[in-house]
Amino acid sequence: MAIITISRGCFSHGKEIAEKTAEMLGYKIMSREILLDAAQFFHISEKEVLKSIHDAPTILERLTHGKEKYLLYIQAALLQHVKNDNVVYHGHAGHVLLPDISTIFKVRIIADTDERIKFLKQTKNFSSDKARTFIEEEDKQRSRWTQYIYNLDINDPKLYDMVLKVGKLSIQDACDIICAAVRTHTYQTTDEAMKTLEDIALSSYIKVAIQKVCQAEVSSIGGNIHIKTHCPKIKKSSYTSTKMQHDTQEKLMGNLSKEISDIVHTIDGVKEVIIDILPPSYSC
Amino acid sequence: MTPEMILTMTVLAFVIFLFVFEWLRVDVVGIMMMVLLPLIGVITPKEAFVGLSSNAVCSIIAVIIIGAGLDKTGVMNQVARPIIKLAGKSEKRIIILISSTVGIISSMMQNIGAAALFLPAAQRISKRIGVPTSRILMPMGFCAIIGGTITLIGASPTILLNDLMVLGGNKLEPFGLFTQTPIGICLLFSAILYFSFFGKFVLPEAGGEADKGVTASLIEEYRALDTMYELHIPAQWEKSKSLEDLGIRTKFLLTIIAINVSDKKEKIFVPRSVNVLSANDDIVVVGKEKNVLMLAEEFGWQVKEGLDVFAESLSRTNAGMAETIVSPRSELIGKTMSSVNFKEFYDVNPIALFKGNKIFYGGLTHVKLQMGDTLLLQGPWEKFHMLRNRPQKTLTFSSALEGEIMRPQKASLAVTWLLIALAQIIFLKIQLSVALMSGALGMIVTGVLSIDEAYQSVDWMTVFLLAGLIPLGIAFEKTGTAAFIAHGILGLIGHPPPIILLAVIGILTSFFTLVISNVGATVLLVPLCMNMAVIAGGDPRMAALVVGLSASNTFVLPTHQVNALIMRPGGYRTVDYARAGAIMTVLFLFVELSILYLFYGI
Repeated sequence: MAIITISRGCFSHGKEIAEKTAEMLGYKIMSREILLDAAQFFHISEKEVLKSIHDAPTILERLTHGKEKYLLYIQAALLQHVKNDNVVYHGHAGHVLLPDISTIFKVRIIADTDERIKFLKQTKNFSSDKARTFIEEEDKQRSRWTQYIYNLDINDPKLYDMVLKVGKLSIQDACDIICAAVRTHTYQTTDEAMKTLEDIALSSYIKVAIQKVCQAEVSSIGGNIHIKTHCPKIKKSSYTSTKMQHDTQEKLMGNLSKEISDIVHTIDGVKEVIIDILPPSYSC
Repeated sequence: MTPEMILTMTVLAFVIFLFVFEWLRVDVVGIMMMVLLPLIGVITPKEAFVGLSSNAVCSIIAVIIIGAGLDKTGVMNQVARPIIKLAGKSEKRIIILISSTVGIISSMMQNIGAAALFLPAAQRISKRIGVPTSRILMPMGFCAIIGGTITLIGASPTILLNDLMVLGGNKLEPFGLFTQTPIGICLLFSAILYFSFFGKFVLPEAGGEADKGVTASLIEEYRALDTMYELHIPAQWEKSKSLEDLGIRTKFLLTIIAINVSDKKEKIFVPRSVNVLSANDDIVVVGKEKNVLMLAEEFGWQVKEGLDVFAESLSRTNAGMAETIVSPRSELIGKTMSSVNFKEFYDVNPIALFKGNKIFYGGLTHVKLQMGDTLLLQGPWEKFHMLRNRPQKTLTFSSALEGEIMRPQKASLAVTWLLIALAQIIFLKIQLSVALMSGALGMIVTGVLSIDEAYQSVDWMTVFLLAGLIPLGIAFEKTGTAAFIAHGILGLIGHPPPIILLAVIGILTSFFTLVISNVGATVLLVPLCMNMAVIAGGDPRMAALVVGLSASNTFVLPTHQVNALIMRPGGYRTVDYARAGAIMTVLFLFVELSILYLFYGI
């Protein structure tokens, strides 16, 4: 009983392996539905959501943190889905969006570049050069994305519990190996792991729920929520006495706290909420 | 290009970079300029610190102290009260009265203070007459910002102008306090008209959460309390009994917090059990509504609609409730309130006592107090502040204290010193900084506020920002860099007529103010625009004025402190500021330039 995330390079047969493994274990398979959820939530197209977690961010997006809001939601939706256990997820970024806890088994599937070119030539009718450029560009985008958002190297084996190279190893062999690993004692679901996952899912959901109001660090222990955030900067166009500045800061912190509290208390599973807010800094 | 010009341009580029990315706070950038410019030899060490003794800095310090003095004496509350009463029930009238008053107040005082003063009343009125709060608050907030353009000392960028108006080493004729007033008044008027007629199209129909205040929040927490009720004892009630004999607290679980003794024309704010109630007296009680009605029925007293005789003295700004905890090692531990003569020594009314899991509303003065017991007290804010400042920390305050120690008896002195300062400026043509500082000094000498309170009120961030950036403006002009860039720009775009040039300057300043500090934008643009105006055959002083005024064109920013303050109470979203603010920005520029063109001879 576990949650398996399959991270894959393009055209490395990851999808087939994920589907077959899910079938062998009798697990639910998930990929696109998370993106559909996110698209519905933000009232944007699925294509736009896909772009946000596929393409490396532009300079403008880095400045405005334009992609992070989608990612937050995708992470929250993914956690909501996988917290019920027995899931194989082969969508984007499962290896970084899901926490590193015992019940989650993270697998990376890679394939020999020549094999991938051959596959692309066969399926898409590309020339060798075009296929090579396409694969290199695709790998680069995915790698830059993880590097920017999480400061992690997608090719670092330390990110995964297992890395399998398809080629000499057949798809069926890869599935067998994954199934065997999942059945070991290490990946069996424990109450403690499920509680941790539920807390992470809840805090991730809260993060999304309050993101219109503020960017926050959220943690949950058994439904007791701790939110750390800061008030946005405020600008003054004229002089303001020290007392008035202090009063305004207090008022804005109070307003933000109430706004967060109103949202969070409507979420299922929330017990107590502690909110730490850094006062807004002034500029003029 | 001289080496000094290259150095100045490098520093300018560095400053703009810091302003945009805000790696350092703007005032720290200012202090950096005071040090960096003399170090690289662009200006002399004496010039580097000239900002600290500038007209702008001295004026700003004096204005803040004068404002603090007016606050301390409650003058502004007295101005606000009749305006609020006059507002009546018409939406347009409320917008016109409140917004224009806020605008006029912020022409001399801090804009956030003016907005905060009217915020609770505006929320209350909108609720009472059923107009969405959002229709009233944004006009009020925008007028607070515009109010800064009515006088030279209303906003930091215009205060700065006289110190920056130097061309070719010659100081230009300075602006007077009211030089810009016609423009400011027209801007205020146009904003009020805009919201009166188009408010319903650009503003959302939202009602944010009203700021209830500490007292109302505390009352909500205690189930046996509803609010304060004022009762009148009719003439036919001839009993004249003491509170102890009437047993109001024990019988009805009500606390009498104030008595208006009609015979002596005296108000008692901490009634004791020996105080006597007679016919024609008024009392204020705290407790459950049904208990109040029972009391009124039993004694034949009349319950008034809201506070009447005590409306002023028990208003939110003067009195309220505070939750306190008996501190460790408190002298109250092991004693009852009656045994320590609590009311006598603490001068506040105990309303409830939270002990263990029980809340006492009656007989609480006879309960032995222990460390950690919670006492809900009511009284004038001033008394709470004095209690908190006592060296023996008998009680620890667990709720915020809203008011502060006020000196209403000094109100006339505060107004007199403001008028003396203004009279010096208007009739004797004395320099702004000297006249204003004399007003501030007068307030301190006559005890309107202490020198420590004056020091504490000063906005040191703005002081150092101005003091630090003035040398940058000097270097920009003195080294000829401003003239060089101005020539370069006009060489590229040709020589437009002055009004077109001023329009471009206005748009540029409005844009820069959104991206960087408004004071920073003023310091960078004034020398540059004055030089451009001279080359284009325009008046450099008018170019400086356009920059100074346009630096207040910050309506689309939800981060502006006034907009941030009204955001939640008004139920606004960022997009509401963008929509209503964008139109206001265009209107601001149009009115400003039209008045300059028509009446200022450009």
